[in-house]
Amino acid sequence: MRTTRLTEEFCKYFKIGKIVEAKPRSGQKQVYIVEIGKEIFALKVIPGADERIARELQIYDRFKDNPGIPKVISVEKYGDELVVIEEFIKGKDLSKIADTYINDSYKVRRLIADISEILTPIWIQKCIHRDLKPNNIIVQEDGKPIVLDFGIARDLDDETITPTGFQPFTWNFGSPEQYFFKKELISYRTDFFCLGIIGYYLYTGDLPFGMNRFSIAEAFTGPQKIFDMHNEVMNGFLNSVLKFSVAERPRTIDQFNKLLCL
Amino acid sequence: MKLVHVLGHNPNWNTEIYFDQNVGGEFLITAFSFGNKYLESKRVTQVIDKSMLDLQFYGQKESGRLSKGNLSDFEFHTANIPFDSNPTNVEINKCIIKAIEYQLSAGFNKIIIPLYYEDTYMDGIISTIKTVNSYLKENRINEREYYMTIPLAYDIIRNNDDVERLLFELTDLNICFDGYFIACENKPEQGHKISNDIKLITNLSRVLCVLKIQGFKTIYAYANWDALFYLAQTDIDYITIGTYENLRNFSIKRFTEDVSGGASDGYYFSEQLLNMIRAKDLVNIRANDMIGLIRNKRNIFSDTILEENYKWSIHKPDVNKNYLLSISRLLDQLSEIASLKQRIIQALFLIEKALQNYKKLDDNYVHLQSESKNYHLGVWKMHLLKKIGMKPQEFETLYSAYY
Repeated sequence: MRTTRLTEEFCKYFKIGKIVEAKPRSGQKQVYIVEIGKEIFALKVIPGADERIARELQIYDRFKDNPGIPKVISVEKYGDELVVIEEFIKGKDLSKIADTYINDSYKVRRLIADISEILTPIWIQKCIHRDLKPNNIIVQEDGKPIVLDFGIARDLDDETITPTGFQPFTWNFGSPEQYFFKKELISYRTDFFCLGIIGYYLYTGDLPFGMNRFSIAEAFTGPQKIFDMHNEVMNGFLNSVLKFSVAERPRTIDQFNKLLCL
Repeated sequence: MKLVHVLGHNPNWNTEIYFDQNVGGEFLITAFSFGNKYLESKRVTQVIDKSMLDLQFYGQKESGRLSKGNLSDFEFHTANIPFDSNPTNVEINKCIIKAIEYQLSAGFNKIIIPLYYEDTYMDGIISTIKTVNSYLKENRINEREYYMTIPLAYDIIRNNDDVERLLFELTDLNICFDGYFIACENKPEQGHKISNDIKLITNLSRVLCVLKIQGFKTIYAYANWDALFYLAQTDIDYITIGTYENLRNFSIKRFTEDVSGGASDGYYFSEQLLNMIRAKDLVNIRANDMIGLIRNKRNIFSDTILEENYKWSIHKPDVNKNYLLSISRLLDQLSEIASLKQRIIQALFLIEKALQNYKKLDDNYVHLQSESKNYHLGVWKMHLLKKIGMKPQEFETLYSAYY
């Protein structure tokens, strides 16, 4: 039973009164903003969900008290699909407001620090996001971020590469160890790297290692790129967290935060 | 940077030069040489409060078959594992924990956590390191420093992926070691004393630099005079200096096979050439009137052994003390330079001067062979220039301006 478009039967089962918005498909996953009763929720439909997804959802559940992560209301199997209903977060998708951060070092660093604060308890418990990118971050009215898709997106996104034009898909926001499938090197420092890319992207409106898979591959296999942003603090941050070698990135969360100089 | 004397055969040379010439600051007792009777050595007891102990688990059960060496003295030592048994990681880990407990009870302030040598099975090493780290998290005693031994097998240190993986694990957030005790297998080519293998020296430089940057203390153990090259690139907290070859060149063979040092007249370490010169080559140098060029200055041991009729032997104290005094001065001079870039430039000056001295020897018809010839300086020079992003020509201009 496939629900690329939500069927009447599906809506009835989940008591969906109204489909407010269908988000662009991301990998195999489809997200809808729906009204159930008088409340708005985010509803994710994940086809072919396996044990691993279930385990990741358990991890997600462990951090349900983290105010920087949307709460999972329910997880249910529907046919061969997994349906996750999450708290709906009011705010703006960071990818849509990215240009408001350009050349504003403080604003960029503040946002990265807020994301780091959300992720700190997660990192400490040896969990990682693995898919940090602007459209996984919602910025609320007060400027505080909410991190979406914790863990779930890891294996479902990223396979599609758009050959023409730019869009911030995961390849562009991934680390060398993800890019080269070195699973044994993936850790909290992978998230550090991804936050470095986000920082660079917000500050410059551009991507640090190129706009397509090939230029990124070339960059990651070449010598370490040194960044000069004409801003000492940004230079210090980017040149530390965007190290291709995982071992050379900041070792502790405290070191990562200190680089933001806030 | 502190210099640590490796105490092995003839430890009196080390303690004498420590007390008389103020060379070095700490001591490393080798289990192979002393077993558990190190306190029976008057020389060791003199410096026990400044000492650490390497229990040398490198060879595991293979060490139990050696006719020489005293590793089996320690009841918990992996050398005591029966040769026909296949110990599990659990058993080996127990030996390691007992080794920690032994050092604590013996009153050592720096605890060198032993680890076995492994040249292929990285997962085994990493699993053991994680197990020991978990143990230490629960059991560490304040006011003691814990150093995890990392025996870098030749095949591992030359493999970029293995080095990356190892560094990744050693610098993880959960690691609670104060530092690492690095013993690197060099396997220099026949006729060389130190490695000039670019893969090896690049990766070992990287290991020492990354561990230091990430806040760990580092002990470069069983170092030769190549320590100069590594110290130029990063602050190393402790560098060992040793007399005999087996104390200056980590080799697994010493812990798995009965190897003899062989007969040798010995070598003259020349600060002017940054190399060991075979005693028999000194005849050639002297015949061409070039002894003055290679002579170490302000070094009474050098003065003695460069006398024309000196009877050379590797077992003579002056031969060994010449090296200890020379290398300690060179290392101390480098470590005093705080700026790493300036330190590299200073090392490059030493290297360039040595290269020019080699040229002068050539110009004066001195033909040097084997260990005595220059086989390492060019590789060092290029690596260090690359490290600071300086072109050779730019360096030559800088060097000419100074000299």
